[in-house]
Amino acid sequence: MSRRLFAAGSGDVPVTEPVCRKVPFWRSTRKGLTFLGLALLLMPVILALAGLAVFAPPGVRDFMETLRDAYVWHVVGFTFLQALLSTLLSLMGGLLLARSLFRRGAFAGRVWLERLMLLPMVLPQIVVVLGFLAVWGRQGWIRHLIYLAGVDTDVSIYGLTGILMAHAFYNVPLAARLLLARLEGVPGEYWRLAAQLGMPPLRVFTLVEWPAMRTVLPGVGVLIFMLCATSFTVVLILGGGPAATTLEVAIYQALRFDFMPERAMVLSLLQLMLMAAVHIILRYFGAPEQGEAGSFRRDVRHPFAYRAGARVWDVAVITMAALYLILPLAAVIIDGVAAFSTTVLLREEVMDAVLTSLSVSVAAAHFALFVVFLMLAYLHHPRGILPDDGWTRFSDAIASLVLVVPVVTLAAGWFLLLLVFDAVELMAPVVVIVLNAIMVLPFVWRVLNPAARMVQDRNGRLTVQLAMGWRARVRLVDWPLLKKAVGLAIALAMAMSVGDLGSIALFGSESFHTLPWLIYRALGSYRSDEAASLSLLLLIMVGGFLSVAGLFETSAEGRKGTVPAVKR
Amino acid sequence: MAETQENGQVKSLKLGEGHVITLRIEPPIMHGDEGERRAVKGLSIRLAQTCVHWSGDVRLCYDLDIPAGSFVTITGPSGAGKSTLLELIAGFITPECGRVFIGEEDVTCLPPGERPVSMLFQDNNLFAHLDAFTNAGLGLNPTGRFSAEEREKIYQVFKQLGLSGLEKRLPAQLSGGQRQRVALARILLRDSPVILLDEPYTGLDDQLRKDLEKCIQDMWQKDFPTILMIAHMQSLALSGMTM
Repeated sequence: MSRRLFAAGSGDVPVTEPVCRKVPFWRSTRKGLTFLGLALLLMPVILALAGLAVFAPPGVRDFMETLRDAYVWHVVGFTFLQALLSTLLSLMGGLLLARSLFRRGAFAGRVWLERLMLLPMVLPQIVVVLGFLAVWGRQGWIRHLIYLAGVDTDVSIYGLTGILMAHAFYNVPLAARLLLARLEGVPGEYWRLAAQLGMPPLRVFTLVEWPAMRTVLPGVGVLIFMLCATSFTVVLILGGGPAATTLEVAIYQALRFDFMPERAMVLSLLQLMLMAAVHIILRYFGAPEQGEAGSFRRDVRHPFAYRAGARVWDVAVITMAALYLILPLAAVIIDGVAAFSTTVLLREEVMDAVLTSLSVSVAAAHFALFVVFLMLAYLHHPRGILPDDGWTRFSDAIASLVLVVPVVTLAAGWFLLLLVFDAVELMAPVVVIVLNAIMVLPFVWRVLNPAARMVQDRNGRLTVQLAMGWRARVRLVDWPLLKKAVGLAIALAMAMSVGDLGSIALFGSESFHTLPWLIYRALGSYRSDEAASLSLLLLIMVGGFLSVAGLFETSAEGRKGTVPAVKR
Repeated sequence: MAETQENGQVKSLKLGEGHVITLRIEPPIMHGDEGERRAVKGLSIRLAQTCVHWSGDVRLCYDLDIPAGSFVTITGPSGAGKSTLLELIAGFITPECGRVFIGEEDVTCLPPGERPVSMLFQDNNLFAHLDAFTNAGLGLNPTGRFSAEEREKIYQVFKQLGLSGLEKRLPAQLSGGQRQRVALARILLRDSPVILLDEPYTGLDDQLRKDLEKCIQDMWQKDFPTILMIAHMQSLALSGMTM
């Protein structure tokens, strides 16, 4: 096909074919490596789908029969309902908290509060849930307070209430951080103008605050919905029965207790369809930008910052939020110390679990890092430019797609597949490591991708100009500039995977178990003291990883190496 | 379009509607003071109907022939396509049509590292995390593992450019003028026949600019590599007075 191009000043220049032949991707090392990385990431997902397919009902009629199961539809309905309510609650709470934080500006302890708001993303869910029970449960602190006040209520934390409260613990801070970033992005003149015009509070909200936040609300909402719809640990423990069961929990129970592979398969399929729909919606609204924590601007204040009423309100909102976040943690620490017992902690089983947890998280973090490195190989463009092409979009899309692959659904696929080969026990460690790696990969990607892109943007042209080989380039440029981000990514990934219950729940056994699995088992048999001391142990491990991550983060230049904001 | 002036030939080049750049081409001095013939290291550069996509419908087309060993000063309004010309020659962009020749060789499809070209960028000229010595030395040996002989050579160039004593400093600990000279040291050490300088005087005050200008002139007059330099309008006016 020939096209004619106008060449100004020099008459028509016919162009028939590209000037330089394009190298096919399998001949280009950088693209080949990226392809390999993507394949390594997608392979486990595809194999899990294959596992689900094995147990698909043989015919359409049988399939429809399974779908007619009332329980299945109850589960779908509840998953949807609790995710929707959680989202609305989190958005409202986040909006209030963001406004108050913005209005108060700098105050003593703000930095700590912002760190506290990052914490739910990386804390083991099972620990958080235990803390929640200790604060809000039947024997909890709040209940005691209410009782002392002379009121005897019988509201239980189990069921929808508890699930919503726990999801708010995770997602109110997330929503608040994303919305706060928007408020901080409002030009200072707007606030000054509002003050000058003497706008009443409601006008300020409708004319300045709401328009600033409105644009990200759908994106944030869909993100939170997605995280709540795939929630496993929270629902497993706080759901408290078949009435309050989400798809993830139902899949787990179908395989682990009832052993109904067909039902598990149908539930998984529904879960995947729900996730796919949500993901499409998320892409439509655009994923929200991750706001920088503490990007606070001192120069401009909200027009009502100094009003007494606003001040009292803000202090109340911020204090309540801080207490809501801090109480469960405090409860885990206090109960853990109170129940401290060397006989529990020094049991061989516990030592085993600690070692297994550590090895699984080390292996998972490094596997995820390896895959991310492969996925970033395409950045080494032979002409030194920063690639912004199909490979960029594709790898970005895949990395964020993994975020919506529900871990228990994947685990179910693997479980079914291995069942066919009678290799569940044999392969359990490998599967748990791979699933954990897939789970932490989006976060590793979010730390390393921007860092690697910046390195290429700044240094790419110089490296190709000097004809550095890839070895010299990695040694002289990439490694020195990326090692802090790598440290941060590994520490963060380990903190996240060491406390995960989703993948070990299906594959754990007496011979292969991690700390979260032991905690869950102790909880299941009402050994709450054992659960408390094991939780403290797990919390200490996570705290260790996080402080290592903090070291890398503070020593990284500026505050650029930000902790990613999303955790399932 | 071409007119001959005292110091070289001035050429206006229309690249596209509203995109005009001016080249002042100064030929090498072929004969020394005693009339001996001087060696010219530089290679000629030829762009034959070479077009790149600019933005929207706009396409910039270059058609030019630069004799070996010339010193070419390029001026033009910002956004006219001056840097694009250097990037075409250095190989950071590939044209949509036409060819690029350096010497006799068609380099259109060669990656930047395989072209006999060194370029001084407008920014990010040095690796911010490597010291001045390593940064300059990479021109000689891109692995960064220097032999004793190579180290000696690097020290020599540092001395020549008045950079002695600054070897261990990171770019952030150097002044703007010193940074440019370290980048120039790297180019000197790389010793390639074609040298591209993208606004080397940006951000330098008068005295520093003159110092750097002298370094560049010395580099040219030593063995006449082909040099293409983009200059600010203002600095061209100044250099017109001094040269």
